[in-house]
Amino acid sequence: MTKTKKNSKVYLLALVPFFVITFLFEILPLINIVIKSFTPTGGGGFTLEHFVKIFSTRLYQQSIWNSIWISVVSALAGIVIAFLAAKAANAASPKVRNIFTSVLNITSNFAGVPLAFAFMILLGNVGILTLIGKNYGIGFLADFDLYTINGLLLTYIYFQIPMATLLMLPIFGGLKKEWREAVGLLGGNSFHYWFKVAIPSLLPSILGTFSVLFANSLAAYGTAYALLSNNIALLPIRISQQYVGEVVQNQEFGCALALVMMILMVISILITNKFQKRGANA
Amino acid sequence: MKIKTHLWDGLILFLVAAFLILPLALTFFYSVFTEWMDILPTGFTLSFYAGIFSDGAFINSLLRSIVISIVPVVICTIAILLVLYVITLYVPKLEKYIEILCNIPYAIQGVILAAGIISLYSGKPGFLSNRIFLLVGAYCIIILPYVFRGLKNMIGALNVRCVIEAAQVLGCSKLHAFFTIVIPQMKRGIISTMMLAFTMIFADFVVVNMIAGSAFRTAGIYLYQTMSKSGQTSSAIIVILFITTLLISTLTLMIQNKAIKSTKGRKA
Amino acid sequence: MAYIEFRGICKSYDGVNQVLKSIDLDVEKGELVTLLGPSGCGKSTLLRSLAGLEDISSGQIILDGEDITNTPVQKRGIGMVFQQYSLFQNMNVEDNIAFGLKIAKMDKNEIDKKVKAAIEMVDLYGKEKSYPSQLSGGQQQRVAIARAIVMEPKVLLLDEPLSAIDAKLRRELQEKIKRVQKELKITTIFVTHDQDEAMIMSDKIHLMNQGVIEQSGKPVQLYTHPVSKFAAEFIGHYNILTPVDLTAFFPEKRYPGNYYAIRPETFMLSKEPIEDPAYLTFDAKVVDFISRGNVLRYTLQCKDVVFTSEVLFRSFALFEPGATVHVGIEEHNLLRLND
Repeated sequence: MTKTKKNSKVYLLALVPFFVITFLFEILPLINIVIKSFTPTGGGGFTLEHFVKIFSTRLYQQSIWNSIWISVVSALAGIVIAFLAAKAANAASPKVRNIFTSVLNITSNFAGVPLAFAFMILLGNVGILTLIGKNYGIGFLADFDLYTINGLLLTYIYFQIPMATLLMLPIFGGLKKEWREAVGLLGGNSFHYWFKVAIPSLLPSILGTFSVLFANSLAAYGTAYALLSNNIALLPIRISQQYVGEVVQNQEFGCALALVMMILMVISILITNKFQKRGANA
Repeated sequence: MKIKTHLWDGLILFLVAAFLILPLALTFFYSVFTEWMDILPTGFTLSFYAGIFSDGAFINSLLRSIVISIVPVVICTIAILLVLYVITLYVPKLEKYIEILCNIPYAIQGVILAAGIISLYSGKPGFLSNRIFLLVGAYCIIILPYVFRGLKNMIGALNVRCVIEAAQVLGCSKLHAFFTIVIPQMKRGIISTMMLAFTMIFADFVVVNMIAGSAFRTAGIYLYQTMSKSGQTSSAIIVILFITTLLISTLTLMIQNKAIKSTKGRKA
Repeated sequence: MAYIEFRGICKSYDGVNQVLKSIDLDVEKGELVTLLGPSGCGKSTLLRSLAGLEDISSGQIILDGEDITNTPVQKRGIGMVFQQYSLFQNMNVEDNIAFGLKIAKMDKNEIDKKVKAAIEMVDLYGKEKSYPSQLSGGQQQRVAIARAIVMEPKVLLLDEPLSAIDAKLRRELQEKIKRVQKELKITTIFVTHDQDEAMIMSDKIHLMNQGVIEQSGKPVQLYTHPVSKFAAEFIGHYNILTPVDLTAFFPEKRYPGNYYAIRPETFMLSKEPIEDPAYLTFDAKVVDFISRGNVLRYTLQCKDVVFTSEVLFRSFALFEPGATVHVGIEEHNLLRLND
């Protein structure tokens, strides 16, 4: 009697759904973006015209610049506010900290179109604060223009804060009380503690948080679209414009723009990974 | 000195919380008053809520949102569970490749993925250009990293290999053991991961706007279209959507905390 | 023909790392044998190959006259208890124990009866409805044992089941396992790295090292007559001495071979010169001593050879460090080792 070793690979069938999904909706679209970026509008052949257009047209230069600018500034603002808030929350009583964390958890769900709308009724042309500003002669409220890149920046900062603070809170939890005591024993003051010990040890995590926030606002779309429709030079808006709306669509050009944005994303992710690794080693 | 720091900390927390709550609270008040021309609004009413709940179009869009959020979550979760079955029990080496595939979506969030999908499939024959099919696929990819990470951490906390071996020795097949012993142990983790993924899709605007647009009006699209017509109705919609999301994510947090507690108890 | 036969079992990962090097091993029906050895010696792998959880590169495994080398795990009729707690967390004690019987589609009443008997056997009466997370480690392993024996397996495999359990409970469980094994007369293979545990539990010990069986025998046999340096070091606190070392003790004698083992308690220490002609004698200096409960362990030195000796703690025979003692040993306690 010879029994042959059962060595069937039937279990590999279990991988089929996953690979079908990722192949159809991740790999192929990704390859497609790269190929179409170098294909002339309408198809056929190879071209760099889309990239030439992107980097030589004012609108697209401006879009790239604005996207980077708004992402960097909102991330920085988010970090600074989150740093102060997390530091304060860390020092606060558990009860206050819990309430504050709940506020963060709740408001971190408030983004996209609803957020844009909330700011419109707050600071739009007939927004409540704008009206109050007008009625009581408070200049900066009355004259605040929400429908500009600066107005948009405010909404971006808004959605960065909860996320940034939620990411920073556990980082602050990692600061050891002993360090502060050690600095004190060695004759240092609070300035020494923060600038020589705490911030340097937090830095990798802070930079990691920064790039998460950067990617977060780079990809943000709903808020900007709801607020300004297609009237703003911002990468995601310019990309979607090639696919939706009445304007003549140019899918190949859209792919080239998407590729540019993807490269920005990848850079920020690589930076995150680098800092996270360093943070883990430290 | 000490008291000063406390005041300063308290002030920061208060200001940040106030800034975060203000737009949210305002949206709510806006939805229950007819007029708001000065500091205080006037004319309390619930008519806007009554209005949208009697509006079949809104209810339908809400149902669409719910269905289009559930379907990809279920598909993605099943696909990932099957993958985890293979990588934990048969081919651990595969894990790093799967992980790469599951992390790529971080780099092609929202608009990039949508652009890639439409420019590939629009105009293709048959089901491939079906907007809803594309939407489901796109959402599967959007939530992929989160579902993978959530489920993998969950399964990593269990002693899967040993438990499966114990079941095998008792005469049970690997697959049967995976579904009757391992998955039930992960129940809480699976549910909370699915709910997190659900809220992500539920809040989506960019993907649905680019892939389906007005062809598949979800609550997000409905809200966008209502915004230019009625401010108060829009804010009522926002409040409803927001409360839905909040309920689900609160529930998720609760389930997660319980799941963490029960795995801890298990290890002790 | 033995009940279980391992024939030329080889196992290697990636073709280079040989974990098992052509192992031949017989286990008789109803025996409790132990595979003893340091971690990485291949003992668990050998056990798992019998269970079918590990593929072997070559060789043959026969159980009860049947070649099971290629039989799937599920069909081998084996019970197993693992080192890690492997209870099904989503099932209570009863359901855990009944799991295998349900898979085998046994009659419900029959299952209830058997489960009850198994629970009684491992003293878990009253815990039927508890979940594993509510049980201590020791209780969990008892459930695991019940879950295995309720299947009436041809052989019970225990893969370091007690290594995660603290010392005191461990003793108790060792007794328990031994009692259950004798009661059911179930053929059992026990894997451990703890030589005390092996001594207490086994009818027979197979000492393994680097993929081979170094020595097999009854516990006493292994303890009193280690055949190799490895066995001597692993089993007891043997003094391992070279022929040169022995010449330091007895300058007029010459010893062949490479190593000799001397059990610490075979040395006789005395203040007076030893007259008994059965003993070889020499003088040594006390370097140090420690008390291990009822035993005193001396570190002694003769010329430049340091060795240990153990004597029962009797207050009148205490040697202070620095003192010179007369040491005697019977020649048959100088065990020549194979390597």
